[in-house]
Amino acid sequence: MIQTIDIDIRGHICPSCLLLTLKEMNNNVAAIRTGNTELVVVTDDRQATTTIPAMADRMGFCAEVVRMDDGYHIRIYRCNIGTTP
Amino acid sequence: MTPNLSQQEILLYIRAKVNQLLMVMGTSPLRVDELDDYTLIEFDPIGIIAESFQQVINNYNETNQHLSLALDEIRAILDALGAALMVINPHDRIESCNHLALKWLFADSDKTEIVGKLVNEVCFHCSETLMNYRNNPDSNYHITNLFGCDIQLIASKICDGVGNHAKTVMLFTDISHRVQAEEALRIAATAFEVQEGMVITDTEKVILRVNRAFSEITGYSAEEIVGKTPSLLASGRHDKTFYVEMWKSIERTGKWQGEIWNRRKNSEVYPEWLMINAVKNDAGLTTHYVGTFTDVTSRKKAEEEIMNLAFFDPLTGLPNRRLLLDRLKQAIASSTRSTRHGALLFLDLDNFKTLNDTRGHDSGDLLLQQVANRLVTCVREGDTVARIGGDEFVVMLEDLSENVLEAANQTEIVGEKILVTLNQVYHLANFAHHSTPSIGVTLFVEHQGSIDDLMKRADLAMYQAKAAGRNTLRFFDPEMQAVVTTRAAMEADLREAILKKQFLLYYQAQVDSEGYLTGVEALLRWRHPQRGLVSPLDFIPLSEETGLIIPLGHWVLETACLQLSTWAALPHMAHLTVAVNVSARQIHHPNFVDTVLTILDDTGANPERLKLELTESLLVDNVEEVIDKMTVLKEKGVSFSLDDFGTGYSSLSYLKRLPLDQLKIDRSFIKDILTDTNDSAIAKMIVALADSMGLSVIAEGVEIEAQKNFLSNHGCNAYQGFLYSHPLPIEEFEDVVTLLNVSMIRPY
Repeated sequence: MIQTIDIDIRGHICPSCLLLTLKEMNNNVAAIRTGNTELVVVTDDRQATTTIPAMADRMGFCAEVVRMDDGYHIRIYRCNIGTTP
Repeated sequence: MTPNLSQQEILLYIRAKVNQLLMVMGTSPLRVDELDDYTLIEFDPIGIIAESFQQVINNYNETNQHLSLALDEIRAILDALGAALMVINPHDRIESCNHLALKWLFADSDKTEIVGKLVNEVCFHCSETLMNYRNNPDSNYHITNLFGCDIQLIASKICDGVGNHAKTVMLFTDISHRVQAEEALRIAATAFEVQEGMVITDTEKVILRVNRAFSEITGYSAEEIVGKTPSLLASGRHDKTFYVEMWKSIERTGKWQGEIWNRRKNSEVYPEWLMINAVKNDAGLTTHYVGTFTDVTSRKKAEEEIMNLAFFDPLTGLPNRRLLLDRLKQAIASSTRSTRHGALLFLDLDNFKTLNDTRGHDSGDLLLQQVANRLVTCVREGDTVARIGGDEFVVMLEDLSENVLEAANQTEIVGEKILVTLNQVYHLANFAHHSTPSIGVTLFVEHQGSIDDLMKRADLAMYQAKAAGRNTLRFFDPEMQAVVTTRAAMEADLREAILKKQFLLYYQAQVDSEGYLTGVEALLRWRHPQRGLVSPLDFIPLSEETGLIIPLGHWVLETACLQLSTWAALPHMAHLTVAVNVSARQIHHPNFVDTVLTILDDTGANPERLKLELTESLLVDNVEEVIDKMTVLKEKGVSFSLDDFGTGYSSLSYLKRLPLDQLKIDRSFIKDILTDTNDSAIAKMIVALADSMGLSVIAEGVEIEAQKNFLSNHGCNAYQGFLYSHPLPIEEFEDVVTLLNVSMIRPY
């Protein structure tokens, strides 16, 4: 059972969005690395949909962006074994 | 010295550094309205970013480890590859190579000595030609005999991210085995296309492949036959056992060979010499069958030709002495089983040497060929005509009578036929020639004497024939000679008798139940100048055999019809019928009907007074023809009586179809009719049969009143026999009838 940490940063714009997300990732990095925990960021800032996945990628995570009614949902999770470079 | 910075300056410195870090991360700088100074310190963006960068560095380290491992893995794979691999940069400097490349291309050097060097400095084998291949990347090259091997070179270009030529990978593969395998296949394919037909099947005998010779021999193309089984070629000449044994042998020994008859696509059956081999795998299991065959039709023909030369005379095509002796041996064996006689006739052409000497050997050869042809026409199919040398021929007859004298007669008939046939004139090249044979005959039955003895006897008899004045036939056995001499004399006498009209007709009365005369049977007699009156039993069979029955029968019919027309003018005789016997040979003669009608016409006899008596024996052959002839004559008023009824062969179904008027009960049943219950039963049955078929019936051989009464009581109302009259010459008969025995004539 995968645990989800939701953070709602609607109303914020970059670079706050990025910094808030990074802070949350830093706090939960161990949990996310196990693969048992995912981080889902809800934002209404379009720039964040580029900057957040880019940073997640450099840190070795996967990120996917889904556009929903209440904003962008960015899911950050450990890449499947084998797909990690 | 510690700088004395104001809090404001420190905050400005922090914001500048945060923005610098944010720019590295590709995002926009912080705005003051977004994050006031107090919150900035509390939020600690530098700390967040530093921690995130730590994560990034950790991730890169991890990734590097993975890449390094992957590189090792690839190196290991490349070293394990059965091919040499070399990577060069666009300036021909070696960037990398695998283990086998060191060994093959770089003389077992250390990798460190190779990497970074120009190819032509370190690779002894890498000629300019070979290296030119690098300019045609992604192609296949086949280099023969590079360091003693067949090598295939594949060059691939690798470009960098912007499409510039970065490296060339050159892969050298040893394909010597494949080349050898291909060569072996090519050899096999060539070997497959030989003169012999070849067929490969799987274990289910389904044809997988055939060669061109197969198609040429069988007529089936590969497309037509592949997928089928060889049973398509079966000729039907071999039974199931043959094939079962063949496959048993293949299972047991892995091969079979022998001659087999197959059928071509055009349904021609031909012989082939076939060899079948089972192909086995390493485990000893059969995987395929290979059949190799040659068409041996021509060899067979050659064999036949040799056989012909060995057993047949090339000039005439007749069997030669060797084959004759072989057949004679078989004939003797066959005669032993059947106890029937056979005969050997030795023929020698009279004065043949003279023809050869005066007209040349070509003429002689022509004569021999014509004699051979004529001889063949004189014998039955199963008999043998052979030429045993020069002008000597031998005719062998088989399946003659068990009785020696009859067999002698049969042989004599054939001999006479040969004499007559060979006496006809020959047309040789440009002249007519007359030739006669001398014939010596000996009979054989079972194992009496050796083959040599038989040949000698026939030969001896032939010399007797020569001595007797040529153009004649002599038997080896004096008794047989006597028989045929008598017969020949009789035949000569018969011919003369016909010419000199030594025959006459006797008439025997036929009467009804009241004793009144209804007609006569005309009976043939021969008044021989020396022997007196000769019984028909002694000369009718001979006249049948010789065909003299035709003129003789003509005379009888004509004489009887003349008698009828004479009687027609006499009131008390005009109603009488005349019964005339007709033999098988007569009725089967093509002109029989015409002859009878012509005689009736010429003599003016009333056809309704003429009764033809047939014997049962003539109904054995060609019954349909006989029925047709009878029907024509019957339409003219001629009536028919079946003579000797009950003694011979009678099929009731034919009897019903014959347009008969009367059945005649044979004298043999009448003789003991009063004492022998069998005879009386037969006589009664014939009467009943005639009655049921609407035929009249007459009994012959009636000698006493009691016989007549018995017949009368059982419904037979017509009689012929001594009780009424013996056969008499016409004058006596007429005297008896008209003068002495008027009572026989029904008042008219």
